[in-house]
Amino acid sequence: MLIDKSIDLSTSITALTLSSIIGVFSAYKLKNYSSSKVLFGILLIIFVIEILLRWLEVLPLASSIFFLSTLSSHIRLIELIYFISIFSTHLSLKSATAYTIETLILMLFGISILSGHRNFHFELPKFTQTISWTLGSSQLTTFILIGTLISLLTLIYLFFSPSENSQEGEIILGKRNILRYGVGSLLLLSLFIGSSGLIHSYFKDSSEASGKLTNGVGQAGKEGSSPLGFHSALGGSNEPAGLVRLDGDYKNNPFAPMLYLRESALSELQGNEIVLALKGFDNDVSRTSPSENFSRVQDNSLAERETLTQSVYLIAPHKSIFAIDYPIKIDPLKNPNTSKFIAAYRVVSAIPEYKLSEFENIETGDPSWTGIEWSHYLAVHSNKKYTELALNITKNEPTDIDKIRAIIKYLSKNAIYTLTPNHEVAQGDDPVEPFLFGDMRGYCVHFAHATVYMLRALGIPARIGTGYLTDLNQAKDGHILLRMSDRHAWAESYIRGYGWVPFDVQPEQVESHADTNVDMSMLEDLMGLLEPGDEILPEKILEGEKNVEDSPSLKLPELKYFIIPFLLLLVVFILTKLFLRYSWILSDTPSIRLRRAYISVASQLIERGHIRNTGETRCEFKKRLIAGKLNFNFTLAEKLTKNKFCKNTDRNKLSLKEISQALHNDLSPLIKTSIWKRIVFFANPTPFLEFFSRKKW
Amino acid sequence: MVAQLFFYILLFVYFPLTAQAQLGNSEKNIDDLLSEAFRKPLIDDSIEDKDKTVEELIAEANFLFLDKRPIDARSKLLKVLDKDPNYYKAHALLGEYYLVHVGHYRLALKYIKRAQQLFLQQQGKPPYDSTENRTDHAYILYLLVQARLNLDNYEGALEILDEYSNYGYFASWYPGTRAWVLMKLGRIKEAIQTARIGVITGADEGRALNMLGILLSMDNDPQGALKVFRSAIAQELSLGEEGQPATPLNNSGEVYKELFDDEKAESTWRKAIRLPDGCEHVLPTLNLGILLMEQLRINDISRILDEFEDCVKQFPLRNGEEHKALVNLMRGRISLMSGKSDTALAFLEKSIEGTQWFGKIGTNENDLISASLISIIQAYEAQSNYLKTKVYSSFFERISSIKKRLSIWVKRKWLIRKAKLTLITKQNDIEDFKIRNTDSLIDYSSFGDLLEHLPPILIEKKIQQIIDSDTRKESLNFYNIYLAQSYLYHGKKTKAQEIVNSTLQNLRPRYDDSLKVQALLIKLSTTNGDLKTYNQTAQLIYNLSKATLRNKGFYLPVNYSIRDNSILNNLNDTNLKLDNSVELTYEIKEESNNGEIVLQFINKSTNKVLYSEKGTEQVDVLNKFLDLIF
Repeated sequence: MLIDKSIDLSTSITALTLSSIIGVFSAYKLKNYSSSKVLFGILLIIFVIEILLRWLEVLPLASSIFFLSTLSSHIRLIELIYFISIFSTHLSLKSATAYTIETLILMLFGISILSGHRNFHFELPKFTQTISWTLGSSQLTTFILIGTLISLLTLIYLFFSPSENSQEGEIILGKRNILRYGVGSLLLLSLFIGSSGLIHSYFKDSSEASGKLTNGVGQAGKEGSSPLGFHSALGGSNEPAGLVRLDGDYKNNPFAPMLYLRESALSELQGNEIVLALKGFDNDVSRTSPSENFSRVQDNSLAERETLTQSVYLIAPHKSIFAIDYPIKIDPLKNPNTSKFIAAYRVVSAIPEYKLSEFENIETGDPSWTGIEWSHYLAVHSNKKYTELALNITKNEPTDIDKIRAIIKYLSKNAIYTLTPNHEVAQGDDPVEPFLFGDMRGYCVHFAHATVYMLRALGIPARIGTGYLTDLNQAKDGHILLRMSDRHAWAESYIRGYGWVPFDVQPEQVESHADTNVDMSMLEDLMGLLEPGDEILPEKILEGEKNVEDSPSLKLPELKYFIIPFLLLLVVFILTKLFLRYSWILSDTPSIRLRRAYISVASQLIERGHIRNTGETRCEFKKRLIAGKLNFNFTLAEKLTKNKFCKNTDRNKLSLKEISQALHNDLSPLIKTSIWKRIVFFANPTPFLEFFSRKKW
Repeated sequence: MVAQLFFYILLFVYFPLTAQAQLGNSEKNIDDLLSEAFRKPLIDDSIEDKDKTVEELIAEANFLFLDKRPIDARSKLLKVLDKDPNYYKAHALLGEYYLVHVGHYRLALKYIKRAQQLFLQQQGKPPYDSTENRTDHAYILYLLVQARLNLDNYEGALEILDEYSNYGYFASWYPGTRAWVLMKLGRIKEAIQTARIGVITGADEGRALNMLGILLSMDNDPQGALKVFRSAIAQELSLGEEGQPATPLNNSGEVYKELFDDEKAESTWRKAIRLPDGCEHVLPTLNLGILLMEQLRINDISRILDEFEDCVKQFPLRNGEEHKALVNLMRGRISLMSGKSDTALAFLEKSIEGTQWFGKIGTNENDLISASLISIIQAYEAQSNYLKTKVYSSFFERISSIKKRLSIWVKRKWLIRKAKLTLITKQNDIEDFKIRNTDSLIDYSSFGDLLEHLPPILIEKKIQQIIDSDTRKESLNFYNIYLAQSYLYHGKKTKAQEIVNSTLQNLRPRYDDSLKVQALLIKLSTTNGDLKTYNQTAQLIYNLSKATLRNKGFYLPVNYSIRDNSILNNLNDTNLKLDNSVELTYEIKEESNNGEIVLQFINKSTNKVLYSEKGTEQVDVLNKFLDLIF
């Protein structure tokens, strides 16, 4: 079963669900007993069952010593669910307050299950991730859907709750109630949909939320703006962002096992932040969207570079492409699976194969830069403290490379990595200052800015690279699953003859960090989507092989498994309703026809919300109907009572024709309603449910 | 095939000659020479791949595999399939790639089955006359065996092994693999016979010997197993850098452990982890860690885990997560034994969630899950007891801790149920009940913490069932403690006391320290108000393992010299029992002045201050002081 697979309770969820349903039905049967009696009965039965189970556990019946012990564990849980279900239903039938409390408990249970998502962790709890993956929706959408579903279920649950004026456990679906609850429900539903839409658009469009959701590193937008946020990086989410497939080995990766995938570069100092520069600067970054072609001639002046092809399959939307280092050719790819991927492209990059230790006595900056370019990459922050600190850290360092290393070492040693630095920074103030000259708590955005400010203060050209940083140890077959938590910002400096090189801070002290484990089953699922087509690797090739089922991700059953039971149920429903209305025609015996004619009218009254209460006689019911707004004269009720309870000789000797006439008379006020109302009444399931649960109509 | 032959000629004839010639007049290392020798003739970058023939691409892929560039090789092979989707050799090589380099067995099997299908379509049904066809067919069958083996389809693997031998094929891997499959199918005697044939024929001798050793150990012939492992170790050592002696060393360590020869087991595993291949897998480190845990040598375990993690960085495995679950399990246990239940829970939860690749080792996912669950249950108990005996600064803080303890109680109960069900249903009616069962990750000394939740009568039955075949006298001590713990849990104190008193005398000094702590804890619960026995036992437990008393909710009796009444009252609410009516080993001393609280924990017999804490905030100081003591 789907639910059994998705939630591991060790005991079958199906069995537990059945036991709770049976519990609800049992409670209806026990509704005339007082709560204390029911509770006493339950405790007594639990006590007896417990004794029996203890006895059962040690019986030498099975070949396995502990088999019966396992069985008792399952029975105990089923029993517990059964009795909770009886007692809670019983209480709610007895008092509307209990019903409210029960609803509250259920809602709190739902909330506590879903509470893992707090602090922008939309990927938590994990089962939402699986559902999202199965449905092919974003995790935020899935989360909103689940929330809305829970609220709607609670609403439906409340809809069926006994009202103050109704009898015990009676469900009233009368016209007024339908109107009352229906309008209320529609209003609430609109509220859910509206608020869901607002929440969704807030997280998708708001730059503030976007910063939180993307680990502080959003997507580069317009020139003159920055995608980086300084407030928090709580959105260290495991939400998949894309799949990168390396089409070749990268044996000489200077940053191994880490891999930098650059999406954008920020180099223009604008007040207190570094922003995306105008075109003309940072030309190594392609600035193309995933659907655009791009090509440039490889810069052969850069030493030790090889070409490497990567295919990138985007799962989350991206405005610009990302790739390893210097992309030289980009081509959009055919999307291999539109339900999982948004877009795909192939990049050929000129990848660095140098060793970081080679950089001794090498100057920084490109001699071919114009004066404007030099000033651009050396623009110094107005706060002199950066210069003072940089000079202080590097006072004994002779070369640019030594200075860069000293600054990185200083920050790695002294800075504390945290997702929530929570610095109070007023609009327009420098957000890096409280980090570097304050508590030194921050994340990649703070580290990158601080590094760049200090390097520039020393006359070393520097900028910020943004994109992804991933651990190749978690790659499989050259496939890398990128998550939102892999989004990263780092400092870069231009090393003469080598190009822009990342110099990243690796803080020794970590206060909090995002989850680091890649979901390997998801990675394998995605890899499976990129497998060669059927002409190369036929899908059925593994038929008959053992243990080759797909990874145990959640698989929704096919639609037919829902449709067939639904259609069957619909057929049974319609047949039952028709039987209730017209079965009197089938009988030639007056007494049976009379009873069935009565049921026909009674069932149509129930459809309109007029139900005979428990303990109410037919005559009392008839009187109530006459006295009520409907002013309905239920003659058949009286006729049936007389026929049933009078002595044989006194019984009304009604002919079949008379019965039919009486039925016609009784029904005439009901038939006068408009056709659409009659259709709605026919759809009312109450008589159907009554047919299977009610002995007396 | 021609391309392959060409390649092998290059490898074995051309390269040694050219390399030798170049070695004489250059200082370049052998890898550079290999690279230079092959790159020029085999990878021709001047021609685009689309203009190369499939044979050329296959040859290049083969070279790239040897040059340890498997992803480049995979790309070449996929290009072959773009050109000719029915080229079975590319399918077979891709199958091998996913089998060996990636560990994606399902995909590997797809390629291999397709290769087999295409081969049979193109070459007809076997047997074949041509050597090339026979070689290719044997190669495909070999891959099929390996893929099925990795997918735990042992019947399927045996079927192919039979087919392989029926066509008269033979290779060095055959006896070892066949023996392994037979072992997995429970046909131990046949497996031993097959492994012996492997040893006699000298086919892949190291592997066959290793296999034979494991089989003999399973067949209750530990001495025979040790003898064979010794030969396997010698064989592997004789291979120099190519050999993998850590594997048979690890296996012989396991046999020593099962024989309760803890000294030899420890030295064997220490030897294994010092070897170059010692950290290619976590098992020797893990086994050593579990052994040291039974001796309560926490610092030693931390050190070997650190060394392992440092060492493993040199060997990038299929993915970096392979060993992490097991390391997290061990780190969690260390934290628990050090009194840090929060840290323990964090590690243990990671161990249960983390990805773990077990491959062909005997330990499987259920071993890890059950072992982690038991440790998590213990960590929850410790956390609850910590919250119970902590000093609180406010009433609300105390109320919030009650709420937390309630939630821990529910979680713990649920996990106990889950652990029991896992052990019974997924592990063959608690097969790990047999002490030091090979491949088990359970901490046997504290296994009783879970078993006590089963009826004593069932524990008795299980013990009876096991000791019919388990004659090791050391293991009897463990069974007795489990039984005593179960009796105690079910209210039969006297029976528990009797068993513990007799068992305590039989425990081995040092090697059974952890079990001794468990026995003493039972004794502590059965003192029935005998204060003297309680005090002696509690102090003994504290000497052995300082965190245990608090983890298990017992108090430590101490003498005191405290002037401040509020400190006295607060400490009385913790799990320190301040008592000056008897002479005890430890004393708490308060030496506060000028608003600064100074607390000392003194060993009276040596008059040495063991722990000291000072500060101005009383609650803070007291809690830190307690953390130091436990």
